[in-house]
Amino acid sequence: MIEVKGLRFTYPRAKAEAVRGVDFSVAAGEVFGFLGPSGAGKSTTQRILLGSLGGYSGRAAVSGIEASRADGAYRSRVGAAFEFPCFYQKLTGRENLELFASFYPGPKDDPRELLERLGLAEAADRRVAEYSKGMKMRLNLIRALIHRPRVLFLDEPTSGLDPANARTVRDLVRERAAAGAAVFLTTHDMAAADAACDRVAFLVDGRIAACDSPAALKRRYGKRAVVVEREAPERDGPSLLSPEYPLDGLAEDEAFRAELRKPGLLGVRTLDSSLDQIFLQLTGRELA
Amino acid sequence: MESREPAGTDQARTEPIVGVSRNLARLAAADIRMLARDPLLAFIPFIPFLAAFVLRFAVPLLSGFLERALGFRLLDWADLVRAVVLLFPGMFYGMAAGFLLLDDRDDGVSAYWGVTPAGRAGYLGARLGLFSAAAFLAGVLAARALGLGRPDLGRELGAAAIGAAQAAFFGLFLAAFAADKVEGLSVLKALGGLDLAPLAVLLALPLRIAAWPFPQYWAAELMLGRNSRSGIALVAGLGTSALWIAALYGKYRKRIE
Repeated sequence: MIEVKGLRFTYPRAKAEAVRGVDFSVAAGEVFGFLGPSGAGKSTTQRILLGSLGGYSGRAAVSGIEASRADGAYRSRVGAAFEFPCFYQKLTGRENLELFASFYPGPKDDPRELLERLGLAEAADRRVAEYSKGMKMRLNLIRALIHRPRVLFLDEPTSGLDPANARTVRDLVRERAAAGAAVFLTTHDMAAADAACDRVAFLVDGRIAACDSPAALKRRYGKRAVVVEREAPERDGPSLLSPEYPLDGLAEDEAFRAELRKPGLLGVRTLDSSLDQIFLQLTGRELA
Repeated sequence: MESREPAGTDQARTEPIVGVSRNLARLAAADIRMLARDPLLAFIPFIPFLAAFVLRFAVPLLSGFLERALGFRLLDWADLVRAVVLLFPGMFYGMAAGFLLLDDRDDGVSAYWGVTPAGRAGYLGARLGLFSAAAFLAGVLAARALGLGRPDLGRELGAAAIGAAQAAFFGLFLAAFAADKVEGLSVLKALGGLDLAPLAVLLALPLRIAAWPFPQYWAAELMLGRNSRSGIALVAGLGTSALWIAALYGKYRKRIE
């Protein structure tokens, strides 16, 4: 669905390349997370793929069509939700959806159903100017989904959402992927990426520093070991962690088995890395 | 939620990319709603008709007064007044289009259209086209509402076409040069001088040449037939309009990119 090979781009009058030879592909039915600090080249790559930015070298194609030749047919296959939702403020949520949807060919979803699903049914006939940031973000997602795109570009889709709405958004994205859409998700929210993505790529200074499934990355950048967690001796004190036990030969490790027999067992933790820690390790930057 | 087939499948590909008339109707409805919900813009569509009605009664009164006081009969120049009335809707509807484009830019909507099948240029063309079409129709109707001068549908349609192009001209001028609505009002004041361009038909050469780049002058020439043939005036009016619109579109694109 999405194919990027040797992609390079330099902004006019800039000294350094914004994108420096990026390779990746996103298959139908896959949710691909594009992660990285601000200025890493995520938005530039997305703009190129959306056909909004020309003058690149390498390959950037959606459904086999090069982005530099993006036309109405190309854009009709794509749904996009930008980080900052933009709507006609004087029109209602429903009027906005109907207007934008009318420019896409083919079958569409019933806006009422999507509005209901994302908790906007009651606000559908209110002007967008009266919406909160979270409501605009949800409307933003509906606009990207309503024409049933084959490829979805989502930029921080859970930004400003409460946990319940963020979960609904993730569920909807997964459903669309299950129906065959390729999803390109740009985010700083590592928990959202971990929960929603089949694979993630970390972009650092215009290059992909790591790309794999979240589970594989967490194993690769973590330790192949476990610790045992037990209750603290004093009430309300912090729980106790055992020394680390390597995964290799764990079943025969007598010290580990003895640890399990001690009273107050709370659980056994693997020492996988989190995506947050991998982000920090690869970029040298804390998440904002 | 049931399983859904993504768009862009064979069925979707065989459909036309844009059902033009349906989309224009949707966009027109949206623009009308936005105008109606904006206290600054809601009355603009009616101003040309109001002006035509006021002039219908004011010009004969003023003409009588001037004839008595100065021996000047204003009613002899009713065709010039008719030309100005034909141009009014282009100016006012262009203002409204320009203010909506400023809102679009502030809200980021114009950038979003770039990732839709319509594209930025398609959307801009559709919006300006709708306002121009409305200005054309309103120009013909306002001229009828004026009721002064000699009715000549052929000339009126030509002048209304030049007036319609002014909707795109004013809309793009505002969007290209103003940062917001307040600046837009200042830009409009600067453009106010164009109202005088039709009066240049009264000037002798070579002074009249100064008005040649302005389509409003050619609309007056078309209506009066004083210095040019009507065909030449029509081509010149539409040609200068096209040149202005092309130049302003280039400026507008630079501003939004």
